[in-house]
Amino acid sequence: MSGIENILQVEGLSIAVGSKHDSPLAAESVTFNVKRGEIFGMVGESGCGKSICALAVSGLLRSPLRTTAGRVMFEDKDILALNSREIRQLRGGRIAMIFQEPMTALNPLMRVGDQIAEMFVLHERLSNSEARRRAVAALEQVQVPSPEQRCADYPHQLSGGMRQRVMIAIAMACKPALLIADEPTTALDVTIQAEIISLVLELCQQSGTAVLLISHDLGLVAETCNRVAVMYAGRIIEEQRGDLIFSSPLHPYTRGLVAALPRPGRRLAGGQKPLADIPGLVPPIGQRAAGCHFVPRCGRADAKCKQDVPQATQLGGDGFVRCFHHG
Amino acid sequence: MRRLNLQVGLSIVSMLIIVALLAPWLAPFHPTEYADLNNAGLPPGSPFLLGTDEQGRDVLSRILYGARISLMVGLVVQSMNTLVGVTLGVTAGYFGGWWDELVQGLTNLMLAVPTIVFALALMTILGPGLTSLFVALGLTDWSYSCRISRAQVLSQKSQNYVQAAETLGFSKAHIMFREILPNVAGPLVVVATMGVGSAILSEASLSFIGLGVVPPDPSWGGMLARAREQLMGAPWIAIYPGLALFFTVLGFNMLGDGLRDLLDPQGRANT
Repeated sequence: MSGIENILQVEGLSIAVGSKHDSPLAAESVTFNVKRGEIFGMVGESGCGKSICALAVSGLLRSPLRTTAGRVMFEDKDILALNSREIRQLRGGRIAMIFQEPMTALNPLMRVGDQIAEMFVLHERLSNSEARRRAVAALEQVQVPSPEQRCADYPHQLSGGMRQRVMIAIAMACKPALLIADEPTTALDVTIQAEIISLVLELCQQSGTAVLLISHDLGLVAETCNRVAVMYAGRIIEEQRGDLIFSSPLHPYTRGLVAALPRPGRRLAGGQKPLADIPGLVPPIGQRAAGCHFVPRCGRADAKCKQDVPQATQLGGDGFVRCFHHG
Repeated sequence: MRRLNLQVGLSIVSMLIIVALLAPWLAPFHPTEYADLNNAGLPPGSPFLLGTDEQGRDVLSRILYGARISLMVGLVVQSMNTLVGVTLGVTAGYFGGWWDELVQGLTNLMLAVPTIVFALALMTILGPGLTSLFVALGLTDWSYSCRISRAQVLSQKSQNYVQAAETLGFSKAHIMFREILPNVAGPLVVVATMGVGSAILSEASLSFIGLGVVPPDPSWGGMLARAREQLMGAPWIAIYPGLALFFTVLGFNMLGDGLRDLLDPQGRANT
Protein backbone atom coordinates (compact mmCIF):
# COMPACT_ATOMS: atom_id res chain seq x y z
CA MET A 1 0.00 0.00 0.00
CA SER A 2 1.37 3.36 -0.93
CA GLY A 3 1.79 6.08 1.65
CA ILE A 4 -0.41 8.68 -0.02
CA GLU A 5 -3.42 6.44 -0.56
CA ASN A 6 -6.70 7.79 0.80
CA ILE A 7 -8.02 5.74 3.69
CA LEU A 8 -11.20 7.77 4.02
CA GLN A 9 -12.99 9.58 1.26
CA VAL A 10 -16.07 11.62 2.00
CA GLU A 11 -17.76 12.86 -1.15
CA GLY A 12 -20.63 15.32 -1.25
CA LEU A 13 -22.02 14.16 2.08
CA SER A 14 -25.28 15.87 3.08
CA ILE A 15 -27.00 15.14 6.37
CA ALA A 16 -30.54 16.27 7.09
CA VAL A 17 -32.24 16.72 10.44
CA GLY A 18 -35.66 15.09 10.20
CA SER A 19 -37.25 12.92 7.60
CA LYS A 20 -39.19 15.51 5.61
CA HIS A 21 -38.35 16.34 2.04
CA ASP A 22 -37.29 19.87 2.92
CA SER A 23 -35.67 19.08 6.29
CA PRO A 24 -32.83 21.47 7.10
CA LEU A 25 -29.31 20.24 6.41
CA ALA A 26 -26.81 19.90 9.24
CA ALA A 27 -24.05 19.17 6.77
CA GLU A 28 -24.06 20.22 3.12
CA SER A 29 -22.07 18.42 0.46
CA VAL A 30 -19.10 17.90 2.70
CA THR A 31 -16.11 16.57 0.80
CA PHE A 32 -12.77 15.66 2.26
CA ASN A 33 -10.34 12.80 2.36
CA VAL A 34 -7.91 11.46 4.89
CA LYS A 35 -4.73 9.82 3.70
CA ARG A 36 -3.22 6.75 5.28
CA GLY A 37 -1.37 7.66 8.47
CA GLU A 38 -2.16 11.36 8.17
CA ILE A 39 -3.60 13.65 10.82
CA PHE A 40 -6.56 15.53 9.45
CA GLY A 41 -8.16 18.28 11.51
CA MET A 42 -11.69 19.59 11.42
CA VAL A 43 -12.41 22.84 13.20
CA GLY A 44 -15.54 24.86 13.62
CA GLU A 45 -17.76 26.17 16.34
CA SER A 46 -20.47 24.21 18.12
CA GLY A 47 -23.23 23.16 15.77
CA CYS A 48 -21.26 23.60 12.56
CA GLY A 49 -21.68 19.92 11.73
CA LYS A 50 -18.25 18.52 12.43
CA SER A 51 -19.32 15.92 14.99
CA ILE A 52 -22.20 14.86 12.78
CA CYS A 53 -19.77 14.20 9.95
CA ALA A 54 -17.70 12.07 12.33
CA LEU A 55 -20.78 10.08 13.31
CA ALA A 56 -21.61 9.50 9.66
CA VAL A 57 -18.08 8.26 9.02
CA SER A 58 -18.47 5.62 11.72
CA GLY A 59 -21.99 4.77 10.61
CA LEU A 60 -23.53 5.98 13.85
CA LEU A 61 -26.06 8.49 12.59
CA ARG A 62 -29.33 8.02 14.44
CA SER A 63 -32.75 9.35 13.71
CA PRO A 64 -33.63 12.19 13.25
CA LEU A 65 -30.30 12.55 11.44
CA ARG A 66 -30.01 10.90 8.03
CA THR A 67 -27.79 11.18 5.02
CA THR A 68 -29.48 12.57 1.96
CA ALA A 69 -26.58 12.51 -0.47
CA GLY A 70 -22.97 11.54 -0.83
CA ARG A 71 -20.64 8.65 -0.19
CA VAL A 72 -18.34 7.73 2.65
CA MET A 73 -15.62 5.40 1.38
CA PHE A 74 -13.49 3.77 4.05
CA GLU A 75 -10.68 1.77 2.49
CA ASP A 76 -12.71 0.13 -0.29
CA LYS A 77 -16.08 -0.03 1.43
CA ASP A 78 -18.97 2.39 1.24
CA ILE A 79 -19.87 2.89 4.90
CA LEU A 80 -23.35 4.16 4.11
CA ALA A 81 -24.17 0.98 2.16
CA LEU A 82 -23.01 -1.52 4.77
CA ASN A 83 -25.46 -3.44 6.93
CA SER A 84 -25.23 -3.17 10.69
CA ARG A 85 -23.24 -6.40 11.11
CA GLU A 86 -20.62 -5.39 8.56
CA ILE A 87 -20.25 -1.96 10.08
CA ARG A 88 -19.92 -3.39 13.60
CA GLN A 89 -16.95 -5.41 12.39
CA LEU A 90 -15.28 -2.20 11.24
CA ARG A 91 -16.06 -0.20 14.35
CA GLY A 92 -13.60 -0.71 17.14
CA GLY A 93 -11.38 -2.78 14.87
CA ARG A 94 -10.56 -0.70 11.76
CA ILE A 95 -12.27 2.54 12.81
CA ALA A 96 -11.95 3.61 16.43
CA MET A 97 -13.29 6.64 18.27
CA ILE A 98 -12.38 8.56 21.37
CA PHE A 99 -14.72 11.05 22.94
CA GLN A 100 -14.57 14.25 24.87
CA GLU A 101 -16.10 12.77 28.04
CA PRO A 102 -13.70 10.22 29.46
CA MET A 103 -15.57 10.47 32.77
CA THR A 104 -18.61 8.67 31.46
CA ALA A 105 -17.47 6.76 28.41
CA LEU A 106 -16.34 3.76 30.46
CA ASN A 107 -18.79 1.25 31.90
CA PRO A 108 -18.88 2.11 35.62
CA LEU A 109 -19.39 -1.51 36.68
CA MET A 110 -16.60 -3.19 34.73
CA ARG A 111 -12.97 -3.38 35.68
CA VAL A 112 -10.80 -1.26 33.43
CA GLY A 113 -8.71 -4.25 32.37
CA ASP A 114 -11.78 -6.23 31.33
CA GLN A 115 -13.02 -3.35 29.22
CA ILE A 116 -9.77 -3.30 27.29
CA ALA A 117 -9.58 -7.09 27.11
CA GLU A 118 -13.08 -7.22 25.61
CA MET A 119 -11.74 -5.52 22.50
CA PHE A 120 -9.22 -8.29 21.87
CA VAL A 121 -11.83 -10.96 22.46
CA LEU A 122 -14.33 -9.25 20.15
CA HIS A 123 -12.12 -8.15 17.28
CA GLU A 124 -9.13 -10.48 17.42
CA ARG A 125 -10.88 -13.57 18.84
CA LEU A 126 -8.28 -14.02 21.54
CA SER A 127 -8.85 -16.22 24.58
CA ASN A 128 -9.72 -14.45 27.82
CA SER A 129 -6.36 -15.00 29.46
CA GLU A 130 -4.44 -13.91 26.37
CA ALA A 131 -6.70 -10.84 26.06
CA ARG A 132 -6.05 -9.94 29.67
CA ARG A 133 -2.30 -10.08 29.13
CA ARG A 134 -2.66 -7.83 26.09
CA ALA A 135 -4.80 -5.43 28.15
CA VAL A 136 -1.96 -4.95 30.61
CA ALA A 137 0.42 -4.31 27.73
CA ALA A 138 -2.05 -1.83 26.22
CA LEU A 139 -2.26 0.09 29.49
CA GLU A 140 1.49 0.15 29.68
CA GLN A 141 1.60 1.60 26.18
CA VAL A 142 -0.57 4.54 27.17
CA GLN A 143 1.87 5.18 30.03
CA VAL A 144 -0.36 4.24 32.92
CA PRO A 145 1.88 3.47 35.88
CA SER A 146 1.66 -0.05 37.44
CA PRO A 147 -0.74 -1.34 34.76
CA GLU A 148 -1.35 -4.71 36.43
CA GLN A 149 -2.92 -3.03 39.46
CA ARG A 150 -4.83 -0.48 37.37
CA CYS A 151 -6.41 -3.29 35.33
CA ALA A 152 -8.24 -4.39 38.46
CA ASP A 153 -9.55 -0.87 39.16
CA TYR A 154 -13.01 0.41 38.37
CA PRO A 155 -13.34 3.63 36.34
CA HIS A 156 -14.35 5.74 39.35
CA GLN A 157 -11.02 4.96 40.99
CA LEU A 158 -9.11 6.68 38.18
CA SER A 159 -8.59 10.38 37.47
CA GLY A 160 -9.93 12.03 34.33
CA GLY A 161 -6.59 11.91 32.59
CA MET A 162 -6.16 8.24 33.48
CA ARG A 163 -9.61 7.45 32.17
CA GLN A 164 -8.86 9.17 28.91
CA ARG A 165 -5.69 7.09 28.67
CA VAL A 166 -7.80 3.98 29.19
CA MET A 167 -10.15 5.14 26.44
CA ILE A 168 -7.16 5.62 24.17
CA ALA A 169 -5.90 2.15 25.06
CA ILE A 170 -9.31 0.73 24.14
CA ALA A 171 -9.47 2.71 20.91
CA MET A 172 -5.94 1.80 19.85
CA ALA A 173 -6.19 -1.82 21.05
CA CYS A 174 -6.70 -3.32 17.62
CA LYS A 175 -4.42 -0.89 15.77
CA PRO A 176 -7.20 0.78 13.78
CA ALA A 177 -6.58 2.29 10.36
CA LEU A 178 -8.55 5.39 11.34
CA LEU A 179 -9.00 7.03 14.70
CA ILE A 180 -11.76 9.57 15.08
CA ALA A 181 -10.96 11.85 18.00
CA ASP A 182 -13.94 14.07 18.77
CA GLU A 183 -12.74 16.85 21.06
CA PRO A 184 -10.53 14.38 22.92
CA THR A 185 -9.10 16.87 25.39
CA THR A 186 -11.91 19.33 26.01
CA ALA A 187 -12.82 17.94 29.42
CA LEU A 188 -9.23 17.78 30.66
CA ASP A 189 -6.81 20.15 32.36
CA VAL A 190 -4.60 22.15 30.04
CA THR A 191 -1.43 20.40 31.20
CA ILE A 192 -2.97 16.96 30.72
CA GLN A 193 -4.30 18.00 27.30
CA ALA A 194 -0.84 18.33 25.83
CA GLU A 195 0.24 14.97 27.25
CA ILE A 196 -2.84 13.19 25.93
CA ILE A 197 -2.53 14.68 22.47
CA SER A 198 1.13 13.81 22.12
CA LEU A 199 0.38 10.30 23.40
CA VAL A 200 -2.35 9.82 20.80
CA LEU A 201 -0.13 11.11 18.02
CA GLU A 202 2.76 8.92 19.08
CA LEU A 203 0.64 5.77 19.22
CA CYS A 204 -0.94 6.55 15.88
CA GLN A 205 2.44 7.08 14.29
CA GLN A 206 3.62 3.73 15.63
CA SER A 207 0.68 1.83 14.22
CA GLY A 208 0.26 3.91 11.06
CA THR A 209 -3.18 5.06 12.12
CA ALA A 210 -4.75 8.04 10.43
CA VAL A 211 -6.44 10.53 12.73
CA LEU A 212 -9.55 12.59 12.11
CA LEU A 213 -9.16 15.19 14.84
CA ILE A 214 -12.27 17.20 15.56
CA SER A 215 -11.84 20.26 17.67
CA HIS A 216 -12.79 23.86 18.14
CA ASP A 217 -9.26 24.60 19.29
CA LEU A 218 -7.67 26.23 16.25
CA GLY A 219 -4.25 26.31 17.89
CA LEU A 220 -4.24 22.61 18.66
CA VAL A 221 -5.36 21.69 15.19
CA ALA A 222 -2.91 23.97 13.41
CA GLU A 223 -0.08 22.62 15.49
CA THR A 224 -0.77 18.91 15.13
CA CYS A 225 -2.54 18.38 11.82
CA ASN A 226 -1.11 17.83 8.36
CA ARG A 227 -4.22 19.30 6.82
CA VAL A 228 -7.11 21.22 8.33
CA ALA A 229 -10.68 21.73 7.17
CA VAL A 230 -12.62 24.65 8.57
CA MET A 231 -16.37 24.15 8.81
CA TYR A 232 -18.97 26.85 9.04
CA ALA A 233 -22.73 26.28 9.23
CA GLY A 234 -22.60 22.81 7.71
CA ARG A 235 -20.07 23.46 4.94
CA ILE A 236 -16.34 23.12 4.69
CA ILE A 237 -15.34 26.62 3.73
CA GLU A 238 -11.61 26.19 3.62
CA GLU A 239 -9.10 23.37 3.56
CA GLN A 240 -5.42 24.06 3.98
CA ARG A 241 -2.16 22.62 5.14
CA GLY A 242 -2.03 22.80 8.93
CA ASP A 243 0.92 25.13 9.05
CA LEU A 244 -0.68 27.54 6.57
CA ILE A 245 -3.98 28.02 8.35
CA PHE A 246 -2.42 30.46 10.78
CA SER A 247 0.03 32.16 8.47
CA SER A 248 -2.22 32.60 5.46
CA PRO A 249 -5.89 32.07 6.21
CA LEU A 250 -7.96 32.76 3.09
CA HIS A 251 -11.66 32.64 3.91
CA PRO A 252 -12.97 35.71 5.74
CA TYR A 253 -14.26 33.42 8.50
CA THR A 254 -10.90 31.73 9.02
CA ARG A 255 -9.22 35.14 8.93
CA GLY A 256 -11.64 36.33 11.57
CA LEU A 257 -10.92 33.31 13.74
CA VAL A 258 -7.18 33.74 13.48
CA ALA A 259 -7.48 37.46 14.19
CA ALA A 260 -9.59 36.70 17.26
CA LEU A 261 -6.86 34.61 18.87
CA PRO A 262 -5.16 36.32 21.77
CA ARG A 263 -1.47 36.99 21.11
CA PRO A 264 0.64 37.72 24.14
CA GLY A 265 2.94 40.71 23.73
CA ARG A 266 1.13 42.21 20.75
CA ARG A 267 1.20 45.99 20.72
CA LEU A 268 -2.14 47.63 20.14
CA ALA A 269 -2.44 50.45 17.65
CA GLY A 270 -4.54 53.41 18.70
CA GLY A 271 -8.24 52.53 19.06
CA GLN A 272 -7.65 48.83 18.37
CA LYS A 273 -9.54 46.41 20.55
CA PRO A 274 -7.41 43.96 22.54
CA LEU A 275 -9.25 41.03 20.94
CA ALA A 276 -10.81 41.16 17.51
CA ASP A 277 -14.22 39.56 17.08
CA ILE A 278 -16.48 38.40 14.28
CA PRO A 279 -19.71 40.39 14.44
CA GLY A 280 -23.01 38.54 14.61
CA LEU A 281 -23.94 34.95 15.36
CA VAL A 282 -23.92 31.65 13.50
CA PRO A 283 -27.27 31.36 11.71
CA PRO A 284 -29.25 28.56 13.39
CA ILE A 285 -29.92 25.47 11.35
CA GLY A 286 -33.08 25.96 9.32
CA GLN A 287 -32.53 29.71 9.02
CA ARG A 288 -29.60 29.58 6.68
CA ALA A 289 -30.04 31.69 3.58
CA ALA A 290 -29.23 30.68 0.02
CA GLY A 291 -25.77 31.57 -1.13
CA CYS A 292 -22.84 31.77 1.24
CA HIS A 293 -23.84 31.18 4.87
CA PHE A 294 -21.26 33.65 6.10
CA VAL A 295 -22.82 36.62 4.29
CA PRO A 296 -24.52 38.25 7.33
CA ARG A 297 -21.21 38.44 9.17
CA CYS A 298 -18.88 39.09 6.28
CA GLY A 299 -17.33 42.47 5.52
CA ARG A 300 -16.74 41.59 1.88
CA ALA A 301 -20.14 40.20 0.96
CA ASP A 302 -21.90 41.51 -2.12
CA ALA A 303 -25.01 40.61 -4.08
CA LYS A 304 -23.35 37.61 -5.72
CA CYS A 305 -22.49 36.12 -2.32
CA LYS A 306 -26.15 36.28 -1.31
CA GLN A 307 -27.32 34.38 -4.36
CA ASP A 308 -24.74 31.78 -5.26
CA VAL A 309 -23.00 29.20 -3.17
CA PRO A 310 -19.30 29.77 -3.77
CA GLN A 311 -17.65 26.72 -5.31
CA ALA A 312 -14.32 25.41 -4.14
CA THR A 313 -11.40 27.36 -5.54
CA GLN A 314 -8.41 25.04 -5.67
CA LEU A 315 -5.27 26.47 -4.21
CA GLY A 316 -1.76 25.77 -5.39
CA GLY A 317 -0.75 22.42 -3.93
CA ASP A 318 -3.19 21.14 -1.38
CA GLY A 319 -6.44 22.72 -0.27
CA PHE A 320 -9.29 24.91 -1.42
CA VAL A 321 -11.39 27.83 -0.30
CA ARG A 322 -15.07 28.50 -0.90
CA CYS A 323 -15.28 32.25 -1.25
CA PHE A 324 -15.69 34.69 -4.12
CA HIS A 325 -13.48 37.21 -2.41
CA HIS A 326 -10.83 35.18 -0.70
CA GLY A 327 -7.26 36.15 -0.04
CA MET B 1 -31.64 1.67 64.21
CA ARG B 2 -29.69 1.69 60.99
CA ARG B 3 -30.92 -0.66 58.30
CA LEU B 4 -33.36 -2.40 60.62
CA ASN B 5 -35.36 -3.60 57.62
CA LEU B 6 -32.36 -5.20 56.06
CA GLN B 7 -31.23 -6.95 59.23
CA VAL B 8 -34.65 -8.29 60.20
CA GLY B 9 -35.52 -9.25 56.63
CA LEU B 10 -32.22 -10.98 56.12
CA SER B 11 -32.58 -12.90 59.41
CA ILE B 12 -36.06 -14.12 58.59
CA VAL B 13 -35.17 -15.12 55.05
CA SER B 14 -31.99 -16.92 56.04
CA MET B 15 -33.87 -18.74 58.79
CA LEU B 16 -36.46 -19.80 56.25
CA ILE B 17 -33.76 -21.10 53.94
CA ILE B 18 -32.08 -23.05 56.75
CA VAL B 19 -35.39 -24.53 57.86
CA ALA B 20 -36.27 -25.52 54.32
CA LEU B 21 -32.91 -27.17 53.75
CA LEU B 22 -32.84 -29.00 57.10
CA ALA B 23 -36.53 -29.90 57.31
CA PRO B 24 -35.95 -33.70 57.33
CA TRP B 25 -33.62 -33.34 60.32
CA LEU B 26 -35.51 -30.64 62.17
CA ALA B 27 -38.98 -32.15 61.88
CA PRO B 28 -39.84 -34.50 64.76
CA PHE B 29 -42.34 -36.50 62.65
CA HIS B 30 -42.90 -37.30 59.00
CA PRO B 31 -45.24 -34.66 57.55
CA THR B 32 -47.53 -37.05 55.64
CA GLU B 33 -46.86 -40.63 56.64
CA TYR B 34 -47.16 -40.11 60.38
CA ALA B 35 -50.91 -39.80 60.77
CA ASP B 36 -52.49 -41.38 63.86
CA LEU B 37 -56.17 -40.65 64.20
CA ASN B 38 -55.88 -41.40 67.92
CA ASN B 39 -53.85 -38.20 68.22
CA ALA B 40 -56.13 -36.06 66.02
CA GLY B 41 -56.73 -32.49 67.09
CA LEU B 42 -54.34 -32.42 70.04
CA PRO B 43 -53.47 -28.93 71.34
CA PRO B 44 -49.82 -27.79 71.45
CA GLY B 45 -47.77 -29.72 74.02
CA SER B 46 -45.44 -32.66 74.15
CA PRO B 47 -44.53 -34.43 71.92
CA PHE B 48 -46.50 -32.38 69.37
CA LEU B 49 -45.08 -28.89 70.01
CA LEU B 50 -47.61 -27.09 67.84
CA GLY B 51 -50.38 -29.65 68.20
CA THR B 52 -51.83 -32.03 65.60
CA ASP B 53 -54.35 -31.60 62.82
CA GLU B 54 -57.62 -33.38 62.14
CA GLN B 55 -55.80 -36.47 60.82
CA GLY B 56 -53.36 -36.60 63.72
CA ARG B 57 -50.37 -35.22 61.77
CA ASP B 58 -47.79 -33.07 63.55
CA VAL B 59 -48.42 -29.39 62.68
CA LEU B 60 -44.80 -28.33 63.34
CA SER B 61 -43.39 -30.97 60.99
CA ARG B 62 -45.86 -30.01 58.29
CA ILE B 63 -44.94 -26.33 58.65
CA LEU B 64 -41.21 -27.13 58.39
CA TYR B 65 -41.73 -29.20 55.25
CA GLY B 66 -44.15 -26.58 53.94
CA ALA B 67 -41.30 -24.07 54.01
CA ARG B 68 -39.58 -26.13 51.31
CA ILE B 69 -42.55 -25.86 48.99
CA SER B 70 -43.12 -22.18 49.70
CA LEU B 71 -39.48 -21.29 49.16
CA MET B 72 -39.17 -23.37 46.01
CA VAL B 73 -42.34 -21.90 44.53
CA GLY B 74 -41.25 -18.40 45.50
CA LEU B 75 -37.78 -18.70 43.97
CA VAL B 76 -38.72 -20.58 40.80
CA VAL B 77 -41.74 -18.40 40.09
CA GLN B 78 -39.90 -15.16 40.69
CA SER B 79 -36.93 -16.28 38.58
CA MET B 80 -39.30 -16.96 35.71
CA ASN B 81 -41.03 -13.63 36.20
CA THR B 82 -37.71 -11.80 36.34
CA LEU B 83 -36.44 -13.57 33.25
CA VAL B 84 -39.55 -12.75 31.25
CA GLY B 85 -39.92 -9.22 32.62
CA VAL B 86 -36.30 -8.19 32.26
CA THR B 87 -35.92 -9.65 28.78
CA LEU B 88 -39.04 -7.86 27.57
CA GLY B 89 -38.26 -4.64 29.45
CA VAL B 90 -34.62 -4.35 28.41
CA THR B 91 -35.29 -5.07 24.75
CA ALA B 92 -38.30 -2.73 24.73
CA GLY B 93 -36.28 0.07 26.27
CA TYR B 94 -33.29 -0.46 24.01
CA PHE B 95 -34.98 -1.00 20.66
CA GLY B 96 -38.01 1.25 21.18
CA GLY B 97 -40.42 1.53 18.24
CA TRP B 98 -43.16 -0.99 17.60
CA TRP B 99 -41.61 -3.60 19.91
CA ASP B 100 -41.68 -1.11 22.77
CA GLU B 101 -45.32 -0.29 22.05
CA LEU B 102 -46.24 -3.96 21.98
CA VAL B 103 -44.45 -4.78 25.23
CA GLN B 104 -45.92 -1.74 26.94
CA GLY B 105 -49.40 -2.69 25.82
CA LEU B 106 -48.91 -6.22 27.12
CA THR B 107 -47.57 -4.89 30.43
CA ASN B 108 -50.54 -2.60 30.86
CA LEU B 109 -52.84 -5.49 30.14
CA MET B 110 -51.14 -7.62 32.80
CA LEU B 111 -51.30 -4.74 35.27
CA ALA B 112 -54.98 -4.09 34.61
CA VAL B 113 -56.06 -7.62 35.48
CA PRO B 114 -55.04 -8.89 38.92
CA THR B 115 -52.30 -11.51 38.70
CA ILE B 116 -54.25 -14.00 40.72
CA VAL B 117 -57.11 -13.93 38.21
CA PHE B 118 -54.74 -14.77 35.37
CA ALA B 119 -53.12 -17.46 37.50
CA LEU B 120 -56.53 -18.88 38.41
CA ALA B 121 -57.51 -19.13 34.78
CA LEU B 122 -54.23 -20.84 33.88
CA MET B 123 -54.45 -23.24 36.83
CA THR B 124 -57.97 -24.22 35.80
CA ILE B 125 -56.67 -25.13 32.37
CA LEU B 126 -53.49 -26.86 33.54
CA GLY B 127 -54.92 -28.56 36.62
CA PRO B 128 -53.42 -28.53 40.13
CA GLY B 129 -49.79 -29.46 40.81
CA LEU B 130 -46.38 -27.87 41.26
CA THR B 131 -45.50 -27.62 37.56
CA SER B 132 -48.76 -25.88 36.75
CA LEU B 133 -48.13 -23.55 39.69
CA PHE B 134 -44.74 -22.58 38.26
CA VAL B 135 -46.23 -21.90 34.85
CA ALA B 136 -49.32 -20.10 36.13
CA LEU B 137 -47.49 -17.81 38.54
CA GLY B 138 -44.19 -17.55 36.65
CA LEU B 139 -45.73 -16.15 33.48
CA THR B 140 -48.21 -13.72 34.98
CA ASP B 141 -46.41 -11.41 37.41
CA TRP B 142 -43.58 -9.95 35.35
CA SER B 143 -45.09 -6.52 34.70
CA TYR B 144 -43.16 -4.70 37.45
CA SER B 145 -39.79 -6.15 36.45
CA CYS B 146 -40.61 -5.26 32.89
CA ARG B 147 -41.62 -1.67 33.56
CA ILE B 148 -38.70 -0.95 35.81
CA SER B 149 -36.09 -2.49 33.56
CA ARG B 150 -37.50 -0.62 30.58
CA ALA B 151 -37.38 2.70 32.41
CA GLN B 152 -33.86 2.04 33.66
CA VAL B 153 -32.59 1.09 30.22
CA LEU B 154 -34.13 4.23 28.74
CA SER B 155 -32.17 6.34 31.19
CA GLN B 156 -28.92 4.45 30.59
CA LYS B 157 -29.24 4.35 26.82
CA SER B 158 -28.11 7.94 26.42
CA GLN B 159 -25.12 7.46 28.72
CA ASN B 160 -21.78 7.82 27.05
CA TYR B 161 -20.53 4.37 27.92
CA VAL B 162 -23.40 2.83 25.98
CA GLN B 163 -22.64 4.97 22.94
CA ALA B 164 -18.97 4.18 23.37
CA ALA B 165 -19.77 0.47 23.32
CA GLU B 166 -21.61 1.04 20.05
CA THR B 167 -18.62 2.74 18.49
CA LEU B 168 -16.40 -0.12 19.62
CA GLY B 169 -18.40 -2.56 17.54
CA PHE B 170 -20.18 -4.59 20.20
CA SER B 171 -23.39 -6.38 19.27
CA LYS B 172 -26.75 -5.14 20.48
CA ALA B 173 -27.21 -8.18 22.71
CA HIS B 174 -23.82 -7.55 24.31
CA ILE B 175 -24.67 -3.89 24.92
CA MET B 176 -28.08 -4.70 26.39
CA PHE B 177 -27.15 -7.56 28.67
CA ARG B 178 -23.46 -7.12 29.41
CA GLU B 179 -23.13 -3.33 29.50
CA ILE B 180 -26.52 -1.93 30.51
CA LEU B 181 -28.08 -4.71 32.59
CA PRO B 182 -25.44 -4.80 35.36
CA ASN B 183 -25.84 -1.06 35.70
CA VAL B 184 -29.58 -1.29 36.28
CA ALA B 185 -29.50 -4.45 38.41
CA GLY B 186 -30.05 -2.66 41.74
CA PRO B 187 -33.74 -1.80 41.41
CA LEU B 188 -34.42 -5.12 39.71
CA VAL B 189 -33.00 -7.03 42.68
CA VAL B 190 -35.38 -5.12 44.95
CA VAL B 191 -38.38 -5.90 42.78
CA ALA B 192 -37.37 -9.56 42.55
CA THR B 193 -36.94 -9.91 46.30
CA MET B 194 -40.37 -8.51 47.04
CA GLY B 195 -41.75 -10.64 44.22
CA VAL B 196 -40.64 -13.82 46.02
CA GLY B 197 -42.86 -12.87 48.95
CA SER B 198 -45.86 -12.19 46.76
CA ALA B 199 -45.30 -15.41 44.81
CA ILE B 200 -45.33 -17.37 48.07
CA LEU B 201 -48.56 -15.65 49.00
CA SER B 202 -50.08 -16.41 45.60
CA GLU B 203 -49.14 -20.08 45.97
CA ALA B 204 -50.83 -20.15 49.38
CA SER B 205 -53.94 -18.52 47.94
CA LEU B 206 -54.17 -21.00 45.09
CA SER B 207 -53.55 -23.94 47.43
CA PHE B 208 -56.17 -22.53 49.77
CA ILE B 209 -58.85 -22.81 47.12
CA GLY B 210 -57.57 -26.23 46.12
CA LEU B 211 -55.82 -25.27 42.85
CA GLY B 212 -52.23 -25.36 44.06
CA VAL B 213 -50.18 -28.04 45.71
CA VAL B 214 -51.93 -31.40 45.74
CA PRO B 215 -52.71 -32.85 49.21
CA PRO B 216 -51.34 -34.55 51.23
CA ASP B 217 -48.13 -32.57 50.43
CA PRO B 218 -47.82 -29.89 53.09
CA SER B 219 -48.45 -26.43 51.72
CA TRP B 220 -49.19 -23.60 54.10
CA GLY B 221 -52.13 -22.47 52.01
CA GLY B 222 -53.54 -25.98 51.91
CA MET B 223 -53.10 -26.39 55.68
CA LEU B 224 -55.01 -23.17 56.24
CA ALA B 225 -57.81 -24.36 53.98
CA ARG B 226 -58.41 -27.51 55.93
CA ALA B 227 -57.92 -25.83 59.31
CA ARG B 228 -60.75 -23.46 58.50
CA GLU B 229 -63.39 -25.99 59.53
CA GLN B 230 -61.87 -26.44 62.99
CA LEU B 231 -61.05 -22.81 63.63
CA MET B 232 -63.24 -22.77 66.74
CA GLY B 233 -62.21 -26.13 68.22
CA ALA B 234 -58.55 -26.36 67.19
CA PRO B 235 -57.30 -22.88 66.26
CA TRP B 236 -53.61 -23.91 66.36
CA ILE B 237 -54.01 -25.85 63.14
CA ALA B 238 -54.66 -22.53 61.40
CA ILE B 239 -52.69 -20.10 63.52
CA TYR B 240 -49.21 -21.57 63.13
CA PRO B 241 -49.13 -22.02 59.33
CA GLY B 242 -50.69 -18.56 59.14
CA LEU B 243 -47.89 -17.11 61.23
CA ALA B 244 -45.28 -18.92 59.14
CA LEU B 245 -46.76 -17.42 56.00
CA PHE B 246 -47.03 -13.99 57.59
CA PHE B 247 -43.42 -13.87 58.73
CA THR B 248 -42.08 -15.28 55.48
CA VAL B 249 -43.79 -12.64 53.34
CA LEU B 250 -42.87 -9.97 55.88
CA GLY B 251 -39.26 -11.14 55.76
CA PHE B 252 -39.02 -10.89 51.97
CA ASN B 253 -40.69 -7.49 51.95
CA MET B 254 -38.37 -6.13 54.62
CA LEU B 255 -35.37 -7.57 52.81
CA GLY B 256 -36.53 -5.87 49.63
CA ASP B 257 -37.07 -2.59 51.45
CA GLY B 258 -33.69 -2.85 53.10
CA LEU B 259 -31.97 -3.58 49.80
CA ARG B 260 -33.65 -0.57 48.25
CA ASP B 261 -32.32 1.67 51.00
CA LEU B 262 -28.91 0.09 50.69
CA LEU B 263 -28.73 0.48 46.92
CA ASP B 264 -30.08 4.02 46.84
CA PRO B 265 -27.17 6.38 47.54
CA GLN B 266 -29.50 9.22 48.47
CA GLY B 267 -31.31 7.14 51.04
CA ARG B 268 -27.96 5.97 52.36
CA ALA B 269 -26.78 9.53 52.87
CA ASN B 270 -29.84 10.32 54.99
CA THR B 271 -29.45 7.50 57.48
